[in-house]
Amino acid sequence: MKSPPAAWLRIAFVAVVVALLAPSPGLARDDGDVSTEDILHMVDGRELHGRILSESKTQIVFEIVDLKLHMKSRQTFRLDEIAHIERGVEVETAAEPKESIRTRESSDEPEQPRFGRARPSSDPQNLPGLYLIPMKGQMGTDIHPSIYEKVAEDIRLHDPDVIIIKLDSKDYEDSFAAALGDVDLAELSRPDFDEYKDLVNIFRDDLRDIRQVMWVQDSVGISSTVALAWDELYMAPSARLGGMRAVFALTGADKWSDDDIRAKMMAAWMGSAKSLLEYGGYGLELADAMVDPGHKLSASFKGREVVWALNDLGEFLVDDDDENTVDFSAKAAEDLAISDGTVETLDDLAFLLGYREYRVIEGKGEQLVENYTEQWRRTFEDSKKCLQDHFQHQRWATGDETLKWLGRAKRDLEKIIKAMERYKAVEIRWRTDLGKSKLELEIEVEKIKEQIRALKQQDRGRGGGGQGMGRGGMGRR
Amino acid sequence: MKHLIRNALVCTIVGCIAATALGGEAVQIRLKDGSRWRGEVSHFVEVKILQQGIEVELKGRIVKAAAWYITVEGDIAGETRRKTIFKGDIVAIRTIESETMTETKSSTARDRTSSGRRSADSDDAGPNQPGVFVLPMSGTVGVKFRHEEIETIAEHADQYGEGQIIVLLMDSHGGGIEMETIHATIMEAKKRHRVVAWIKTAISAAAASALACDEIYFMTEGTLGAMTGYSGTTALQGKALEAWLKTAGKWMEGGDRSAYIAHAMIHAPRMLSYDKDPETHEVTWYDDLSGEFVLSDDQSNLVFTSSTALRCGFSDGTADTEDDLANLLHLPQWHEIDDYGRKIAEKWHKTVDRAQVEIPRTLARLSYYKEGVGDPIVSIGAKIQLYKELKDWHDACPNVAMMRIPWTKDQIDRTIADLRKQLADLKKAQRGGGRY
Repeated sequence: MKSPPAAWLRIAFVAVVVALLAPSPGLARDDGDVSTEDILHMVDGRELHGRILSESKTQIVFEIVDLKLHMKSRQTFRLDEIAHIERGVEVETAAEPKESIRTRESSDEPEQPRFGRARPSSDPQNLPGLYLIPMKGQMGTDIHPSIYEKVAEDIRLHDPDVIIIKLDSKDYEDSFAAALGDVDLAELSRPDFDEYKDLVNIFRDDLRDIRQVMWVQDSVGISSTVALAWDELYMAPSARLGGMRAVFALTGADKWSDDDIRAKMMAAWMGSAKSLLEYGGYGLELADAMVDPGHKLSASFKGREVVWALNDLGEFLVDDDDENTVDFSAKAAEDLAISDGTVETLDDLAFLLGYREYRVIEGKGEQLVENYTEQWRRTFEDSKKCLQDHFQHQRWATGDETLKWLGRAKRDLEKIIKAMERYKAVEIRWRTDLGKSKLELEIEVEKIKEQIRALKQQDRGRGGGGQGMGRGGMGRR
Repeated sequence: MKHLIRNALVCTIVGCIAATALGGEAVQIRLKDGSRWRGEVSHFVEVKILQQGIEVELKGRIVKAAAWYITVEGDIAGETRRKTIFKGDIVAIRTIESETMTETKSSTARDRTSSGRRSADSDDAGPNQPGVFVLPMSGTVGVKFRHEEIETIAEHADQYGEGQIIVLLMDSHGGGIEMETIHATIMEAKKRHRVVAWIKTAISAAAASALACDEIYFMTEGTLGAMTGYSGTTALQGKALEAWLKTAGKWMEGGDRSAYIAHAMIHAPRMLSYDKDPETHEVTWYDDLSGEFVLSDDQSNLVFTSSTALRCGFSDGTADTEDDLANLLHLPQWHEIDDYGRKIAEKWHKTVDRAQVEIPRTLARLSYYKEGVGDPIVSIGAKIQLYKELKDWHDACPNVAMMRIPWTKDQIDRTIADLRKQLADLKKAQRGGGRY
């Protein structure tokens, strides 16, 4: 849920937009003709007003103008999405008055449910409900099926019209330092396609009766194959889609010296990557080019669809470098019909989805994900401190205080084990970052227990009763 | 192609049935309501039977009649099979025209060229169609994914009569050569039941195992292929490679699929392409790149995804949910007769999971457990107990024990005997010490 200050900032922004747009009596055309517009009649029944900016034999770039909302947005449509076009139609109505824009009268007004930019013209409960889910952070730990199973339960509870997944997962920043290799290897996506299949299953199978939209904020790494499991995909203007070379290197599939084994491993890994694209219905060549640096990629436009080829022979050369994987900017993804549009705000996205009015469902999803990420990461950091404590306590375990500090050293390890049991992500990161498995720690604990038992036995042998009293005393203190 | 052959086969069978529908031995059945049905062997009948408390309807030709039972040959769960029915189980029976059978056959023949998704409304099957048994098969082939559970579920299905549907739900990245035994077990089960594979992941040995099934369905994210055999860091070569190519090719052909597919999944230089007739959807395979659709060049290994498998007819359909699969299996709805398969799989998987944790733990304990007590009798006694536990794992989970325990059962026995001797000597020495 948005905090009140953020909501007010937004309202202020809306007010500025309104102020800027309100005087406009109609649609301004670059050619000076403000009295006409183009109308696209879409095959899904929508009727979009605006103007055609450019046309090719496969697509149309269209500036959609909503008179009521005073909104303009630019979108590319494939011709097969359009039933027919009306050109140069006279504009009948001017813009709606300012009152149609949602504003707040008083700061004392209680927090209201979130809606779209327009004031709902009907009962809010009858408006299409959008359920937003963040997928943010490291693939395989922050973005893990275990948390999204809980989110799915909440989605079912609220029964939204649309699920919007906001994906923001990047293995590295788009920076000079990253280009020089300044990448945190511990934060790279984990190449575990089985888990990503499970993650995708939660949405694309278990919740398949609900419309789903992938909204990529940024995706650099294995998240890009996951994003392509959604056929409705939009991108933020600055979003990237790609960056899977590092992940692929982690698999080691192309490192086998035997040709047959290398081909087998490559095929198995690529099969896993492609299998996610099957859900989205994208050309499987995209996975080849995005994951395996050894491929070129070009596109041709056959009728109304993009045909991909892993060579440089297509009409449009996407990548002629056979040493790097293919990455897409938001614009490139839109131009090549991978993305359905480039949108910055939820209002824009909702508009392109066909919702002039909507309500944002205040489910627990966002909170669940945020809490989970914050908690497992904090637990992980704490558990790493426990290891340092463990070493320290072991060093101190000498002389008269051996028993005392051994006990503490044991408890340090037990805390780590508990953290691993609480969060799968913690266990994963202990294995990858510190090379320790839960079993190894359990064995360490058991060894310390043995040491403690042996020491107690020796103490009893030396004269017993007195030490028992001593332990009791410590316990009371 | 498989579709055409199957349809042709079905038509031939139906034709033969019609042509040979001659008069035969008289049959008389007394029904529970006191009425009698009279007919002859070779008559076409529609019979309702009570099976495990469920009323099941079956159409077919009586091929045999004895004092207590009749045998009917007909369409059972989509395939022409024979079913023995005890007269006491028959609720109702009526003679029908052979044409009715023909219609039934045609409508239940599967269309491999369809998208694999049908609505339940289009299924004219009655509510009493048989259900399914599901056996989840995941993990490493030869460890979690093994033939014993297939054998067990097939035997369990036997109790419900022949012609049951067993769904092998596969999710495995491969493993050892257990696949040969798995293949043989599935082939054996297929003699009595309809065994189908439903693929989430079937790579390497898991892919090879799936080939034994006549019907293979994919989940959208399903993958199958990469059957290259290797040892250490070297792929099979020479005679071993030829033998595997031959065996896998034979398995592929056994399921009415081209051997070239298997070859492309095993050896990178083996290529694969195909043509598909736009009208008949018949697929012609090539072991080079001359076909319109190229699946594998001379440097690649073949792994099918759901769409590539469906387009060339390797897959019988794509199903993401149990209801989807029920549609493809021509069942009116998803109905699991019981959860026996799921239970035995779960039980075995738990055993393997435990073995994979407990065996290394026990091995580690050998170096420290009860060592610090300062009493050799106690520590030797503890060691004997640990070795016994390891020996028990050889019985409880031989697949994991074989990989993780460095000693055979005999070697462990010998070690235990040594430890017992040490123990006896120590005790003897202590007793002796006491006397002095």
